[in-house]
Amino acid sequence: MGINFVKQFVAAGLSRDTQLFAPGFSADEDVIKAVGAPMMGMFNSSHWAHDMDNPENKRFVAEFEKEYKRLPSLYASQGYDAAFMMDAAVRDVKGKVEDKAALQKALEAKRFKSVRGDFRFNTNHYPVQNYYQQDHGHHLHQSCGCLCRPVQDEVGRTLADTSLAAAGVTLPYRRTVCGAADFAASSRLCLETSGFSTALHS
Amino acid sequence: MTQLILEQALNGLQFGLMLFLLAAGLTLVFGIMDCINLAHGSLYMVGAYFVAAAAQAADSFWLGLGLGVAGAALLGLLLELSLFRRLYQRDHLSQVLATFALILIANEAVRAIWGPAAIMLNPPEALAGPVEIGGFFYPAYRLVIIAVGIAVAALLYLLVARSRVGMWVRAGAANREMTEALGINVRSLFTAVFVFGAALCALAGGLLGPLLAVQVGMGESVLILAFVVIIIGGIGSIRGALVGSLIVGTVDTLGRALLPALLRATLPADAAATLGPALASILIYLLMAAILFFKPQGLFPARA
Repeated sequence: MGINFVKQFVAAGLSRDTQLFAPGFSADEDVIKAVGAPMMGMFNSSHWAHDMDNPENKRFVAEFEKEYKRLPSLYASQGYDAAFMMDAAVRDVKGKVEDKAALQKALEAKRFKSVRGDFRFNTNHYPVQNYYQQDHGHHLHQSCGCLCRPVQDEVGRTLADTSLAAAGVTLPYRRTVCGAADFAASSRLCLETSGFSTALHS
Repeated sequence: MTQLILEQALNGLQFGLMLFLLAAGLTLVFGIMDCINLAHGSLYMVGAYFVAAAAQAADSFWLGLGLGVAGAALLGLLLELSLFRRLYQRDHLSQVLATFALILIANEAVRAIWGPAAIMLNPPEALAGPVEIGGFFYPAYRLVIIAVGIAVAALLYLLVARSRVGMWVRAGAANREMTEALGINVRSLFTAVFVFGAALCALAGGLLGPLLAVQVGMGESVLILAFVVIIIGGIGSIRGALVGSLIVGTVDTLGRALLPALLRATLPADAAATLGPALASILIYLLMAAILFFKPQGLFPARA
């Protein structure tokens, strides 16, 4: 869906006066490769990107590229994380997966290194972690022929706390959050990201 | 509101004309050869992949379109000579089985060659943006699709209604045995029609590629619509395919755009919210049922 949407959004001229914000999966590595030039100038927010600078991610991206000859998408990163998470938990309970309470505790403890950087689980099992704004396309990535996303500003964190004020969230964070009155009043179109809306509405 | 209706009417026209490119080949193959080709949508998908690959290699959309359509026509020729020729004599169940297998083979082959993710196909640079018509902006590329669609429809009309080959095709659709008895080489006529249908499929796939995602499985959704079109229009009739395509294209597009708003104005909000999208997506099937009730042979039956 992301592919058709971005193509038709730009072809209709809407990108001229409307900044497009998208959730992570509407501008992931696969979408970028399929859409190409019309991605220029849009933002999205994601919990992970292929060029994040940590040793686990570097190893993951390099090995994925070697195996599949393309960049991994965020779905691949989640699958990779999930496998390591299960592996760590099963090790922790020494293979006794029948003990469900112990296994759950081991999963919650999260004793593995994620490709998204450090995070922990909230009491509702939603990860508390950094989110990144991705600024699409100021140059072409020569090696893969796709657009690259060099800029990653940390824009927010999902919050364990129930109130934004108590958490002391500052305004730059709201820049990519949809549904606020000032966005609704203007003709801007934005797409909600599940991570952000969870943080705001919880 | 007028702008929305106008814009959606143009979208509907564009969609209808692309459906016509697909339905024209399907209705002739079904009408003349009495052969159900479920793999027609796969030719559309493979055509779009050919166009995308050729456009990337040649770095030119139009050159890619030409090469891709030629490639799909060649594939159509190979398929006709190797497989379809053996299917004409068989019953519909065998045809459905064989062409359904072709769908699976095509999807897996495309996945093996180009990978599971969608591939890039963008309009030429000059047509990438919108143009202003009558006070609103409309994508320039969609106008080009409409123009190409009308040109191909006119060409097909001349070919089928005014040329000698077209006369054979119409005769074949009306009564195959009689046409053969009159000394027409129906076998080579079949091959020509099949190859022509494959080329039209690829043309539709290549033209729609820059609007949609060129990906595995893109042929299946459009195949159902193409069958609805030829059933509404009357199997074997090019005129029926054109009228049916335009009806399905506009009714589907306008229904999806306007029906939810209309229902909101007349029904309670929660009823409208659930009924609107559901009704919009079954609208063309309701239409098909209604037309079949009054005209069981479709609007323009070829075997009158």
